[in-house]
Amino acid sequence: MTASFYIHKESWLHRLAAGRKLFCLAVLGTGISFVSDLWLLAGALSLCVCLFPAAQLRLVVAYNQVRPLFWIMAALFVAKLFTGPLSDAFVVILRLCILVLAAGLITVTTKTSALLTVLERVLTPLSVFGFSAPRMAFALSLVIRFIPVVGQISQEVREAQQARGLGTNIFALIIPFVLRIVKMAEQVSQAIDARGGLPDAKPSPAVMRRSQAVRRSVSAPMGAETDQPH
Amino acid sequence: MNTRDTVLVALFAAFTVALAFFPPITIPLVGVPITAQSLGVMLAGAVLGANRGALSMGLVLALVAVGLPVLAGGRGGLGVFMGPTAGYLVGWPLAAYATGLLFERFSGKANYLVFSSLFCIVGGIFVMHPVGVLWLSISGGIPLDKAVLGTLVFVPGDVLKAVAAAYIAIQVRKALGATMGYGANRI
Repeated sequence: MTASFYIHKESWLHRLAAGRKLFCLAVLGTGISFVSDLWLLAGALSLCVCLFPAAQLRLVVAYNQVRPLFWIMAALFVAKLFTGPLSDAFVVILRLCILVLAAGLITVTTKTSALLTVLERVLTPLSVFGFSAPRMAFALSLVIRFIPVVGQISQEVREAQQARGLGTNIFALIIPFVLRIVKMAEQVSQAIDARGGLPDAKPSPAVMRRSQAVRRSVSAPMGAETDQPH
Repeated sequence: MNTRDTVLVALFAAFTVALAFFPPITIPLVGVPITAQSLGVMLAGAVLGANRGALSMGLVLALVAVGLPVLAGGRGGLGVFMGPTAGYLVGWPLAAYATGLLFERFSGKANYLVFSSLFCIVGGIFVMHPVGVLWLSISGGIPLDKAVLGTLVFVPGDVLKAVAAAYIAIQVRKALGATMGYGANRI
């Protein structure tokens, strides 16, 4: 149900540190908004496309990144035609394609666990406002762990309501679903407390190791992710 | 945030993800098919309140960012945040917060469908849409008034969703109060 988008290959793009890739994306995203030269943008787009084969990925992977945006881009293109010259319309579409391709490239070449670590690191300064990055990481691994369970509950509720002839009634489906979620939260939190409770609000080396171990055990069976020694 | 709060936040995020895999469902009587995921945003606010609701939507966005296909239609990944509709996604925690805040502040009135719908409409439309439209206008480079005009089409459907979410929220809050020993506003 939730295998990640990560595609395992051995390429320099896969080996590049996640933080660096994200930094490049941020630079690209800022920089590109100042570029409105059509040829420059077209060059950047072809570079982005070429990076997919460079990462040993097939071009259809690149196409899959932009395909869901086809209709919204078409709508944007038409809207731009009415408000300005044709070249402006192309500039906007090219910019979007470049950013979406670059971001998609990071998503398919970076392990979920590596991105999670970066996320945790980036959000750590928020502890000033009482936000706890270790607990967020713990909550994230909980979500990943419980998506299949919650999906199972949704299936059970649907079957029960189908038996009553209410299989397409949104209220009959969602109300019991939410109630079971709240009830399960009660049990899960008791189970966590019985096992020593939440990780400390401030990151400590031991907790970091533990939450990483949890994350690894959680994410391992989900996709083709394997932890390769570097 | 005790253990239970954290788990509730996490499980509501998982719930919102699971809604993405719901087949499009129809609202009885009206008969309009809708995707269920945006119901999760308003429900998170209505059931969990402002802070926990916003945090749980934040968790869903974090899952999107780290490359899991958790959005409706199996979408996800960083590319979603680069697309022209990213504003609507960023609006999720804000919408959940606004809806939650209203449910908390006016919990006495929240059991009336009119008020509860209003709370959901404020979050799901008056907070979510401006953020989404603003981003659409910036990233798509189209004037704000044109962007607003283009997204007005979605407002009637979203009003229906908000009313549906409001009804669900009322029933859930009643059931939690009646059978599971929760106070009116202490889930």
